[in-house]
Amino acid sequence: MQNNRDRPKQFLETKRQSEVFIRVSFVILMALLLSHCSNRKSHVEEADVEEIVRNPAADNESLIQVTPLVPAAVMTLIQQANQQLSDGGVAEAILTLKRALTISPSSALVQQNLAEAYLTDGDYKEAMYWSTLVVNQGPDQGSLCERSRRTQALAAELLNQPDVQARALESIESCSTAQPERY
Amino acid sequence: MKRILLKSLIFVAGFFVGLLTPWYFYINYVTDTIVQDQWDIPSIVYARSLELYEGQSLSPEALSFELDLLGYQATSYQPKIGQYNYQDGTFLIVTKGFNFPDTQTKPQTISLSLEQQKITAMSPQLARLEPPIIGRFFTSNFENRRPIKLIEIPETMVKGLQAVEDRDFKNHHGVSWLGILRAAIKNLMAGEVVQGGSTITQQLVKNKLHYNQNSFLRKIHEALAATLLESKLSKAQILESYFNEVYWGQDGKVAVHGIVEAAQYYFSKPVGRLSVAEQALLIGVVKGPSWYNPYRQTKRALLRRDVVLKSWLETGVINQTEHDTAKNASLGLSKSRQLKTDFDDYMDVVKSQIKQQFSLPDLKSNGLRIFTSMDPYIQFKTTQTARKTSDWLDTKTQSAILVSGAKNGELLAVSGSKNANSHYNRALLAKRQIGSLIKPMVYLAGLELLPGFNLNSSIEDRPITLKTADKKTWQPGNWDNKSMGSISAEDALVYSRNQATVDLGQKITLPTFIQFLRQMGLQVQRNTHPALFLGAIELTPFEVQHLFGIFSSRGANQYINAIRYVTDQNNQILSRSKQTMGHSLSVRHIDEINAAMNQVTLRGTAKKLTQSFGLPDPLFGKTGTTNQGKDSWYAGFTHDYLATVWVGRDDNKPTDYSGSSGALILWGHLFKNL
Repeated sequence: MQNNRDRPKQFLETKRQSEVFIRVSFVILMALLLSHCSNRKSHVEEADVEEIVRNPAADNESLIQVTPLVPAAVMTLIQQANQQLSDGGVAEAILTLKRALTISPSSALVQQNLAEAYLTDGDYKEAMYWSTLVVNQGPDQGSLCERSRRTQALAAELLNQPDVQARALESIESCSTAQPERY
Repeated sequence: MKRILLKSLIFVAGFFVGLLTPWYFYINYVTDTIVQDQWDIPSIVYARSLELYEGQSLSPEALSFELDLLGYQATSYQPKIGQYNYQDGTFLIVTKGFNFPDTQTKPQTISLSLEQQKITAMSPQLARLEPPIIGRFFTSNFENRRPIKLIEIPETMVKGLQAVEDRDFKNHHGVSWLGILRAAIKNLMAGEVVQGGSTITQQLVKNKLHYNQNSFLRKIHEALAATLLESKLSKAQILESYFNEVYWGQDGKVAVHGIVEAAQYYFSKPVGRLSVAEQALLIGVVKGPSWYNPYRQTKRALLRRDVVLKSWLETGVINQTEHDTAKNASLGLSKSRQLKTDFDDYMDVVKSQIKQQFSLPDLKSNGLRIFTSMDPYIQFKTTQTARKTSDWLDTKTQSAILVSGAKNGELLAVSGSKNANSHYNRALLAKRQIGSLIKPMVYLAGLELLPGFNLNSSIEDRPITLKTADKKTWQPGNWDNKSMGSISAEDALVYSRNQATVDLGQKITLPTFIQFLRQMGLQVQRNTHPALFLGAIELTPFEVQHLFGIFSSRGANQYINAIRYVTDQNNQILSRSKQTMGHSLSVRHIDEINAAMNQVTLRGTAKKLTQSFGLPDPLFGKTGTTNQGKDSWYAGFTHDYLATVWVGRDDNKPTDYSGSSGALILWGHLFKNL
């Protein structure tokens, strides 16, 4: 009986602990991101878009992955653009992504890839434009959601827009939806 | 004394160095631009390349149109490069290949099946056709008229110009002092300016600098520039430049420059086929294209032509027989100008935007490749719709239509007139009051700026009397002369209620609304009249397209662009078009307005589109009408396309049309055919 009465208490205690844990993790994550951003040199060649923007979300399995509905041709073009980026052809990659955009003008996936390509190219204004578009109109959960906010934060830093950067960093958290606990 | 002399000397030297040196450099620059103005290799303007992939919406007609435009030959056999075969819904195309800036495509065989206006199967999975050429620019000023070589101009005309305008041309160095003296004596005797002493070289400089008035300083400037130009160009090059540049008249609001355009404008002929009489008229008109306008001043022009012919006879340019034959000929003016192509109106936009959006140093090289977003099939459909304006509306009503991508703001098609022979591009140039088209912006401003306001909020559609800044009273009325009382903001927008909109506008306030419009990219002058809330603002159809692009793209695009990118001859990208977002509008608010604009097409002023034309939902749009139907507007979009249509009279007289009975009819027909 005692055990039964204590169970809700234990449950609340565990929940409180996990909440504290999440908050602490969030603060650490934010501090890491901010320190990373503030330590970055304002030179785009040194911005590893792949590592900073794409990978964190791709590695996190707890995120809801939004699969955009785009024609197969668009996926082919995105792959082609990625190959061009790997080969150092940023200008070509941007044109390939713009080509994909003519097929699917409102595809957040293409827009985000374009934002990242512009970031790599050192065109922060365009990177800001396309990432803001994904932030405003794209998915509010999942990998694209996170990637767009990271790109926006980086572009904002490089454009010296601390307010926009702070908002972007704060909103990254909202993209993550933890798996609901099962009882 | 010595010191004064020294000071004077220093002053004079300083004066020359300080004033004349920059002047010299300016003149040198001016003459350099004249020398460099023509390109050896023209710049080519391309439409978009047609992407082909499984699932793409495409009709057999549209694909055949594209292939024909690209010069592909239809064949019933196995196609070779540049041919296609179409049988039982399946196209077999062998492309020609193209050097795209991102990659070079080689000729390839494409097989695709079309069913119900869609590509249902295709091999390879993705391909694109070459982009069709829609125009060329021949000069660094992005003129799309082709310059003519001196050798192609009839000799009578070349010699005849010198006989009439500058007999000493071969001998002087830019300025004919003898000519000036002769003109001065004649002018002194007449007591007014009756003769100019300008040489052909001076006239060329004057034309290039667009001088309208003669002043002593300008004459000196002109003389110096002419002398410098003579040291940079041969006599033949000066003559060639003159024939290509000189102002020959006015076609509506379009200036006719150059002999090629002039021959087309006055006689609808190529220069090589002009008769002696026609040549003489053109040379005569140069002296004063407005004064001797043969269309308006027939007698005066005829007399001038005969003076030229007499002068040619005296100087041996023509013989007596040629003179007599020419003198007896009528003016023989063409009644219809050369018809413009479907692409000319779009080229006007390209010309205007290339200078606005791209830095000029990048564009100074020869042989640029300009890639645009024009869709030739949609352009064809748009032009066809415009040409039929008089089938649906009265004959005096003109029209302008613009179509762009709803989501990406890329310009797809433009028609600036219903007539093929009107070169006045109303889509770009006609500034007209927009009437109720402003209302979505008023309600958006309400959502953005008024705390607690939403489209369910109640506003008052009642008679209202306002005092304007000039102390007059203003009482806006509704189109049906009725008032609906308290209504929701959504209904006020859907049914385009004026009194309710002014009620909301009063809450926003006029200065705040003007500021809001400026953030949307509109150049709004200071305006103190509340009629601005009802669209008392003049915009071109192109500016309206920008405005509605904000709604169709859900805030993503603020500007409609025609040019995607520009490369040099070696395929290196010089410049890419860029989008900017100068506003911070809430997507939710734009969506609310879009939902109301959808209702406009279902139960409001544009319900004809869904009920009579049977166009599928969802459609979004707004009608606009100005006083007495002077302007009839409809701006609307689907998920794919945004189009603005204006109809009205050039003389701004009233018409019988409202937005829904005029512009909307053209919009409906266009979208029925897209």
